[in-house]
Amino acid sequence: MLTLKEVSLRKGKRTYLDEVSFTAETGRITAIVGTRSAGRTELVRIIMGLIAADEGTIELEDFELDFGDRQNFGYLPAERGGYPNMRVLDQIVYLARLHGITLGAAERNALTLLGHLELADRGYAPLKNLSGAEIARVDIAATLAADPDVVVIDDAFAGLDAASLRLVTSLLRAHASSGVPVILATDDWEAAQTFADDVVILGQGKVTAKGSVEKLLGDPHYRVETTDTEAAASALKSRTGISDVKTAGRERVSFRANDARSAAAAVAELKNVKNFESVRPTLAEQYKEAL
Amino acid sequence: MARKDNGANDESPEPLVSKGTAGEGIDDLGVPVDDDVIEDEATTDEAESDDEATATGATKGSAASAKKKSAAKSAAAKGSVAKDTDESDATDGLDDVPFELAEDTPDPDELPETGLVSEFVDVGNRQAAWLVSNRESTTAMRSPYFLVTAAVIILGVLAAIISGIVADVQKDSGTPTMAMVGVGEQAAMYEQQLGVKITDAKDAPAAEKLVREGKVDAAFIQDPSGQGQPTIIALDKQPDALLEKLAPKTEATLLETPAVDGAVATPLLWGMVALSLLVVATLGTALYQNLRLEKRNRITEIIAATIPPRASASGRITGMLTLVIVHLVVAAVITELGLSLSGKTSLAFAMLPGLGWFALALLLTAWSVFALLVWASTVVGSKARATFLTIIGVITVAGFFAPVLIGSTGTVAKVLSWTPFTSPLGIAGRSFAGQTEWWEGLVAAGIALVLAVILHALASGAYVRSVLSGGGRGGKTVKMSKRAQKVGAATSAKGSAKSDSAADDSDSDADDADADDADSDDVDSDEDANSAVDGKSKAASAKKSNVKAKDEEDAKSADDSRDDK
Repeated sequence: MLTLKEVSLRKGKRTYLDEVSFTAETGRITAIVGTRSAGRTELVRIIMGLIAADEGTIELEDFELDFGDRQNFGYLPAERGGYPNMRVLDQIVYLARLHGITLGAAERNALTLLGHLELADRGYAPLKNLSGAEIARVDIAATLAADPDVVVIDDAFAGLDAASLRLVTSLLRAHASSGVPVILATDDWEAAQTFADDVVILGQGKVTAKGSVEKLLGDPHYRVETTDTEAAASALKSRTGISDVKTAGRERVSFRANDARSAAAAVAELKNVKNFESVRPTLAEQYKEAL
Repeated sequence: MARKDNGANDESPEPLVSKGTAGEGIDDLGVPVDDDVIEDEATTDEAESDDEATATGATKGSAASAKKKSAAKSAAAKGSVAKDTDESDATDGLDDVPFELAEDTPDPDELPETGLVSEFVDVGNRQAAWLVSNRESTTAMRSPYFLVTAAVIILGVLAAIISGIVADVQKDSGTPTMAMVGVGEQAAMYEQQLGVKITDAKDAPAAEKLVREGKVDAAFIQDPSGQGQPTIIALDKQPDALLEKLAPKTEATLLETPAVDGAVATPLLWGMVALSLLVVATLGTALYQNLRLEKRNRITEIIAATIPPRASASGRITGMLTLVIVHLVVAAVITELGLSLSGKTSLAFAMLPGLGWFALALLLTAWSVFALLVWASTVVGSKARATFLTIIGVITVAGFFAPVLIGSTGTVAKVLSWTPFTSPLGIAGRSFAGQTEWWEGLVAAGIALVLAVILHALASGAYVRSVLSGGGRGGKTVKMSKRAQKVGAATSAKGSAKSDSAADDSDSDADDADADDADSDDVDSDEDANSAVDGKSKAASAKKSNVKAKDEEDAKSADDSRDDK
């Protein structure tokens, strides 16, 4: 697992990151999400040792990372591109070999990954001959070809179409399952919610929320449509196991319940109920507007 | 039908590489292949228990997957008894599949979940620089600019040699001329006898003057005492056409040492200017464009996160210098070979020192130019970069032209032949004119080397600053985590006695690996690299406390070494 402890980055009066702490667990995909200028890229660069943090430490398996300890981290920055005139296979092998992997292993891994990403027939084509989505897949292959101990991808879902997204996420999932922490920084809240196990929400350089996706999504809300919202709200408030009762609009009352059964029982006692549904706001709905 | 055992086997050796399967032989699969294995419940149960034992030390993910696999197996095993009976009935009477034809299907349990192979060697500064250098030079060599430059150089040299041969043929086709002292009216008779045009000179100095002025090919001078043999003098090369007409054939005494003739040296120097500009401009442009491309496409960041940026910068420069050497060697070989084949061996020999010093000085000058280009690529702001590039261009072009324009004699020429950027053409011009002492080339190369090293250091520093904002990376490498866990999990599945001995082994391996770590700042031999292949993963499989303690020691020693530095 990769642990960040109170990492801060300041430049002049501006604070880019303020005591950011979280743990990217082994075998899980951790997404760092946030709005623009939330400090995602700075955080990723600090993880990769490209920027020195003013404060804080980064630990891998309880060992504090020092200079040069990230040789087998797979890193893909945002706004990337490869060598346009270089052949796809050569490119992947070259970048993998910088990690210290042997030529034979690099070639084998490159072919394996290209096969997984449905690019087996494009290995000998120059990168410039590939489409944008194919190039994005090649970037992922180049990141994973050295079988890295930690995977860090900034702007992870950029350039991927639906088919590529499916291939890439399954590959990342397999890689995480093999026992490495996979960290994805993205501003795509929906993709993060769908594909990540854990989420760290950054806002203005601070961790606003973190934890598993399930935990952050929380319990579902319940929503009742009724003609008499005041009566419904007061009836719900009086019941045990019901909380956070709010009127939303002229005909809607929302509330939380300990479980679906008690919510249904409470609603059954209300009059003039037009509709009853459970609602689970997405991460973006819960946090993005607040940021 | 022969099938391979899916279960792990205690007797099967540990893979040398942490989780790769590439090196495994068929014997590693644990069951002799020629056994016609038909699984029964007991076998499957054994396999399951082995699987579970393996999974205990593994990560959550792998444990979960192992359990899934075990569950799937047990479900399959329930129906397998009847199925196996049917199969055995069906295969009765058929021959066993021979060993040679048995399908070499890897054991699914031993395949890495990602299908990726991990075989690592330590990448020190030199190896990293070599990898980058290799890519740079390979990419540049494949570019049309490089091929065009090489073609222009080869054709240019050949054209120069051929035009020189043609000129000589035209020159040699005329009647040889010779000055003779005091022949007077007998000149016509000698002309008839020898088939040589005779010019009458009043005395020996006058004949020598005619030779020096190039008005005659040689002069025939009698010994003043009349006792000795007459001598034939020529300027700087043997007048072969003339000597062939004399009997007995003799050799001429040359008035000047065989430096390169001015008529040859001047066009040769201009050719060298063109060669220098072609080589430096083509490769320099490729280098700069690559650097900007990497910056634009953020490959610089990927590389900087992987290898020390200083090694990356050095690799780029050395890659291009390799190609400079290729160009120079091609040009020199073709020149010397062409001259030798066309019978101008003396000229080829006369040119050698000048060409040698030129090649060395040009290589070092190219080093400086490439270092400056690396530096320029790191400058923020397109205007500032353009200014920097203009300055580099002006210095380079002026440096190549100035010595040829100024000439090869005088104090200025001497200073230019020692000064970086002007030294390649300066030292060559003076060498062709026979104006240099033997040590002057060394001085010129030495000064150019010092400047190149300084510029290289400055450029590397600028490159490091441009890719790392306060971050720093040394060569120390620690591989840990996943491979360590995998090997650790496999180790924990072994019996206690075996695990004890394995722990002892890995302790000793950890020592080796730690020693490698301590040395990894300067990994400079293949031996280190090879020994590190297994060392890292084995080291990580040692008890965590031991590894942690040793890594702390490593970290301390690394800190100490950095402090020392």
